[in-house]
Amino acid sequence: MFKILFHKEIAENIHNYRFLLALVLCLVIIPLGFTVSQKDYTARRQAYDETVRDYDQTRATVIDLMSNGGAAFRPPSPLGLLSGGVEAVLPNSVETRGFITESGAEVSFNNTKRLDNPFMSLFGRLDLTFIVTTVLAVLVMIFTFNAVAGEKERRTLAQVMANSVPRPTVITAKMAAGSSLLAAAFLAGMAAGILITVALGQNPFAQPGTLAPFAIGTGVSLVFLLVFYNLGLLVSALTRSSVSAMVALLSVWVALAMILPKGSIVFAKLILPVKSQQVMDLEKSQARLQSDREFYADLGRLTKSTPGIKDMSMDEYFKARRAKNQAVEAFEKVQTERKAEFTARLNTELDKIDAEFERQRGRQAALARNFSRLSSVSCFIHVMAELAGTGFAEESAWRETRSRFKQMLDREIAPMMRMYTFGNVSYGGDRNLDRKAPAPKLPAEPVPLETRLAAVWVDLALLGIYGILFFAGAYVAFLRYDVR
Amino acid sequence: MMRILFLKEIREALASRRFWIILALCLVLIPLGVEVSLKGYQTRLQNYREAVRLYQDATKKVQDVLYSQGAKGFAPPSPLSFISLGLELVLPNIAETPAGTAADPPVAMRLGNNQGRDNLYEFFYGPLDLVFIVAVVMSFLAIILTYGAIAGEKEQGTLRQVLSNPVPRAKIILAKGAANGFVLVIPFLLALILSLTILEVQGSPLSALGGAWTSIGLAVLICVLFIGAFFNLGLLISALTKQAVPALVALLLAWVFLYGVYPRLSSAAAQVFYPVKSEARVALEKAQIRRSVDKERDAEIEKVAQTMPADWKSEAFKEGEKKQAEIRGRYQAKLEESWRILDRDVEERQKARNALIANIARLSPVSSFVRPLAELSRTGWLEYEQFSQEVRQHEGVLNRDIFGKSRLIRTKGGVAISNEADPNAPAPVFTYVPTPEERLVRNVLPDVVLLLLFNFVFFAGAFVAFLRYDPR
Repeated sequence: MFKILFHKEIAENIHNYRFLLALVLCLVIIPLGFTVSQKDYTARRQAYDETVRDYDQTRATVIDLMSNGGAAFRPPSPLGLLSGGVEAVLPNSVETRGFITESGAEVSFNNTKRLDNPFMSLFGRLDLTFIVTTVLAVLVMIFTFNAVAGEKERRTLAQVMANSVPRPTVITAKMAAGSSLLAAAFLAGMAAGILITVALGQNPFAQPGTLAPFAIGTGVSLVFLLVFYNLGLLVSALTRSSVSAMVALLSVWVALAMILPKGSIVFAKLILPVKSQQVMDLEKSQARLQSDREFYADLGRLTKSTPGIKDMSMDEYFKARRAKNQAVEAFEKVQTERKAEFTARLNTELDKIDAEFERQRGRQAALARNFSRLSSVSCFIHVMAELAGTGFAEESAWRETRSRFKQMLDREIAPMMRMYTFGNVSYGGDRNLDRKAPAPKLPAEPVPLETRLAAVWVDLALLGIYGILFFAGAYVAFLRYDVR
Repeated sequence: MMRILFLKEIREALASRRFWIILALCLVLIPLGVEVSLKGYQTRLQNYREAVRLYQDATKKVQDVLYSQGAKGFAPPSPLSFISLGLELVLPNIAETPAGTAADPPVAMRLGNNQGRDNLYEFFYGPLDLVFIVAVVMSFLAIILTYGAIAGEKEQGTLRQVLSNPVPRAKIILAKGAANGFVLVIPFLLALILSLTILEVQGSPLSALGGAWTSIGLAVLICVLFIGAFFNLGLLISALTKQAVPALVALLLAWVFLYGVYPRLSSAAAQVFYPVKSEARVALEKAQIRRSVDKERDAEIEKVAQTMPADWKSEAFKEGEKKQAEIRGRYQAKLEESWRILDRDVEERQKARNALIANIARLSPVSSFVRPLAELSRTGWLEYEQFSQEVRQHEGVLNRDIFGKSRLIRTKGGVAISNEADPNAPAPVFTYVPTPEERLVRNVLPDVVLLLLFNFVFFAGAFVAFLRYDPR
């Protein structure tokens, strides 16, 4: 019986041109989206490669790095065609600011790519996530709005029910047939997309480690389409006319895809406000200035109270230093110790500011994230962004990269720097530094797929739960339908 | 006759739940969106003020610019971002001199945006501003109001009955259009008036722009024209189809194409066919030019340095110093000229590419709506151009008064760096002036005309299709 009903539903969807419409749309829009995304990626990758090459040539030795500044670069994501995510606002490098001193390096993010195509920021990207959540979601609505309600309206359902057909078989066949056709159209579009991009010399799998996330992304897209299909069936089973079903579905889609996710961050920001990064950076900068002021005041007191030093003139001091005077050497040693104390105190304070900031930010993000999970669309777009390497795990990894970059410079360069002060003259510098040594480098490390999946397992589980819930709802509503 | 038909349609609309649902939706969503956007703006404004205060506290004198903080300029958030957040989250909001380059003029201020991380989720999900509410919710309401306006009456057979009376067809469609349009636009305008009143009561943020009522008025006109375009498109498709459901499906597909696919495709396609160097590439090329110019300059200066005596008070030393200054000046001019040519080429291509995208995208009413509203809200490309222009002017002042006064003398023994600017003079302050309203208005006028044209063409199509309808 299931087979007959399944074939009947398949034939109906093929005869009323819905499948054809889905197939044509998928065959046109998915390859188009892939082609433009890959073209954009190729241009960005080329700029990245040239920047890294230029950097490597101009920062071959430690002294080059000291004079020109150091940086670590983030390569563009090769799977941006799955989801643009937050890539446009992620930094494309982390750079040193000013000179690296014995207190350590000051590093900050840099982003120079955001306004390369302002219209893309204004209108959005034609990535797979958008295609699935908008174009294919509307297609799903067109497939499902009258799947049950239309049959109620035309009274054909009453006729079917008059025969000895189990209701569960009817609704399951409807779900299986419609979603299979949609999946076929979607997979055909994906295959065409891959073939066309490869034929144009823009193979999306040219970078290692891209095939598995792409395959998982395709699978998750299919699951999302099934979830949405079940939602369509549920709404159709709950309404009595096709038009009401369509209007209700449209409203649910707008709420799930747009209002709820947008509302989640508004809600989180209202409940848990957090200072901006700009203000944080300036506060940290002020803390550094304050620490410097205190250090030099302390040094002034030290100079005035150190026997053998306090009465020296500038010329006498430097003459004594050249003569390896013990008092001067002891004075320099105390300076180094004091400097280390101030640096440690400053670093503790900066770490405290950072930790508090990250804690507040984390709470706000978690609230927004959990609230947005009420929407299956939101769960889906989070999963896709993580799979594409353009999501929040990437942002978090990049923050860690900034810390590792600073730690690397603090470990390999800062201890070689020695600055001393006498009166208003600072002297010393990089004499302990091996100026010809190769410059330390921090190669880009992609976030492992396991880490990215671990960040979205809740969303993946929720997608499954939503799918089951919506189908269960449609199933119950259909069983409860009173034919009279 | 027209009056009777109009009143009949109005009465029908008021009696149905549709009007009240639309009114309720508008009265909830629009003030909510405005309030939420206002809160976002206030947070950004507070952060901007805090950043300016912290910077100005630490940079009171020229010596602070030279030896400590560098020079910075900040762009304030736009109070009109409740209309359209546009590019606000990605537009540069800070310009700063790179640290460690103070002794080597010309110093170029680098535009940056460090608020990306503050608004990751907004960027990810998109804002709940007026543009979103109108582009998505109001256009859907327009579709829901119109798909059955003619096709539904054809399907139910009521249109045949009406046409069997001596009623001019033109008056029927005009009355339908006017009455349903009224039902859609009045709740929107009421909600907007309510939102603006709430804004004023809360201490209007618009005073920062001197009210900006021309921009707001024009934005409202564009919103109404946009809703009208989708409304008339709905009437057209409803007049072309025989049943309500196919009309709704066709309208949905048209919406997806016009809202989702076409504008995105046009921006991507223009980039593919008319590529422009990215900012990263321009920065790279500038650095390469600088290195090449510096290499030539340093070789020439080194030759002079080798001929200079150690006694810095001697005439020969002073002569060498003068020669070095002349060489530096010459190479600085060469560098500035090379950068200027590169910037000009990129800017020209960028302008041409943007015009190309805008023109291709304008074939969709959504693009003719989204872009002008971003410009009028001062969150669009014009604002970026304005900020860049002001930064360049400030850069000129900084190079003239501070960085240009750096003296770098190379001798046999090494390098001596000094700066002749008065270290205790007050540090120059960057003052931001937003884009003049006239420029914005001039920029968006073609889109207003296009939206009018869309309304006219769609309504004319619906009118003709309705006149050609054969009731048999």
